[in-house]
Amino acid sequence: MIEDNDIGGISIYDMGLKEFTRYNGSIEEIPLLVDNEMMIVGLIMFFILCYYLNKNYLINHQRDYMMMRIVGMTKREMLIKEVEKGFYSFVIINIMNITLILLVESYFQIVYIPIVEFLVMSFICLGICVVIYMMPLYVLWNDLINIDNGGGLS
Amino acid sequence: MIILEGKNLRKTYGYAENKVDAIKNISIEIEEGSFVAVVGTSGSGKSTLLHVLAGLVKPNAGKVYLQGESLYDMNDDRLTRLRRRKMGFVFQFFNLITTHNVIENIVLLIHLDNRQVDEEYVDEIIDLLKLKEKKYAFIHELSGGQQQRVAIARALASKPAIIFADEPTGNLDAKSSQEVIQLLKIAQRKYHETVIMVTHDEMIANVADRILRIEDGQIIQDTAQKNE
Repeated sequence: MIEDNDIGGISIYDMGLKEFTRYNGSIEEIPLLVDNEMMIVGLIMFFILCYYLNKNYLINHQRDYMMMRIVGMTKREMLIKEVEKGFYSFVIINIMNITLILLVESYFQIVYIPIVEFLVMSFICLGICVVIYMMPLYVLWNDLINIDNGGGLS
Repeated sequence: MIILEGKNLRKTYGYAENKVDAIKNISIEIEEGSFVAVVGTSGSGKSTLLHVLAGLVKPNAGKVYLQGESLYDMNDDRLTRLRRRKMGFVFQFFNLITTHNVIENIVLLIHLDNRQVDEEYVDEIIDLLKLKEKKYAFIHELSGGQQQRVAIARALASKPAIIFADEPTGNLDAKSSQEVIQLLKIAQRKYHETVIMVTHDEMIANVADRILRIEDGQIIQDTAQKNE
């Protein structure tokens, strides 16, 4: 069913036709061109980049995190704080997503509300954001909060 | 009245031939409202003793009681909450959260505990520690002495039962050191705080009401002295 096209040397997969309503009310069928491999590679690269950026941030602010633990921030509160950061990133990304959809639709003069696609992308995005913020904390957990280090505080 | 008590404390680091006894069977009682200085040379075990008493480093043996509660018999979450409610900390380095400004650092523990900030009391501390003009400054904009004053303000703001100071003047010049020590002394007198301070400087230790001399992991001298 999937028809292979070749545009400019890049493999493009025709994911079928989608009906769109133009501003003037006419209904048109437009082929959806999505390169799955590029999308997956892009997503993985985004994930790795964000993961390392956040891990680097944690390493740079290790003293702050350690101080928070010493003066009285529990592990649970620390995790919740990171999840909160992930959630805020998720909200910002979704606002950017909606803005982009609105811009594209106004450019092509089409009316389409991509509820399913939006929900799927949001779900993936939320997962990635939470993992990106929580995973480095778990990886660095021992270094960050190992206050049983025999006088390494002073 | 005894506020802090350590019983038969022992802490060892390393294994086999690298094993070091940082503190050896130390028992100690701290009176409420007193200013205690722990003095000793580098590696004598004074910082380890302070960390053990503050619930930061679990001893291999012995118990620590703060206002009757055994610190190491509680789980990590409870001990952490107890630290933020009943203890204040002033360290030599990395005292403050660098991404926060002065006032955010001062009220940090109160916010962590979801308590209402006593604005009047916090303003009084800020005035006392001469930080009014630096209230909204970021940490990198402050000198070493000013940073230590912020650390003292943070330690006082949450009205703790006890303040632990680990070499609070170790990184400061003579003038700033005297200033910081005097402020700790004022805090003890004005707010009836109990202060335990570790130092290697005999002159600094002289402001204390009681001096504990520690050597090779053991208290070799316990002197009470009168200070006006």
